[in-house]
Amino acid sequence: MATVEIAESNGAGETVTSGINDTDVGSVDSANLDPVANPIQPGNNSFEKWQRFNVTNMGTSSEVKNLKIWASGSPTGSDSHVTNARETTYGGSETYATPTDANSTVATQAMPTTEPSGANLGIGGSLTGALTATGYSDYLVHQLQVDAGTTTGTTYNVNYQYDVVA
Amino acid sequence: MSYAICGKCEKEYKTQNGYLNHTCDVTGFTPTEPEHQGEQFVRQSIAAHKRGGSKKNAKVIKGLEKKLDSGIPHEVSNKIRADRVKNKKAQRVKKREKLEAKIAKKADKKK
Repeated sequence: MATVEIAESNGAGETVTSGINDTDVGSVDSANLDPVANPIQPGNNSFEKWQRFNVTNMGTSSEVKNLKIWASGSPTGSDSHVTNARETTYGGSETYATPTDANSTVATQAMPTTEPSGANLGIGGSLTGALTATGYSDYLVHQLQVDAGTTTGTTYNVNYQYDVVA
Repeated sequence: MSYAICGKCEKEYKTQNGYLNHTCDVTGFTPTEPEHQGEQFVRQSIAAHKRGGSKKNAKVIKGLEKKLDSGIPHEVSNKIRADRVKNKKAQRVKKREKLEAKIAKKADKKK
């Protein structure tokens, strides 16, 4: 049985927190952050999230592949949730850079709000890639960009899906 | 990468293997076991194996469903888990501040 978790990278030296509990975004660059204590001011952005699927155990399985990311819900009003995950014109494997709260130059497309028909996050730089041993996927980068007129936040889920081949 | 942190117990490891082989204080499992992530992840694992198809996966799914039926023993309440994480985070910040103060003191002495 394959075991998969989500790992998040933070800081200039890339500290990796494995098996994160949530993907809450906020005004600090931290894994498992408290969004109430670290709210994003209107007109500002969250710090980017740099996350990867982490296969910690392949068990008797041969492949982990077909990575899909999408949100069940949308941000408030004119806020936008952007990501590098996409089914077409995928930019390949990104090199880690310290997360920023400036407009992301990596996460530039709206987060899908329905399940993509195919993979939208790659492995080894390719959407058709597969992990055949323990290791990481490409980085998923996403950011919440809050509109100047927004006064309240909201909650919705981000789905991380993968397939396991025996 | 400077170091890896377990998202559950917040212990720091210099290598990925160190992280993978530790038995988590919070969950009682190693990160190589699906139970480490809790019931929701076990359910996701079942769904991922189902999508993968094949008879071999069916056996794995049966095993995972059995684990779910018997209950994931480490499932502590979110509040307890959050409190543990908060305390450990505070301890880490304190430790870092202490170290930074020590370094600054040393640097002053050198001057």
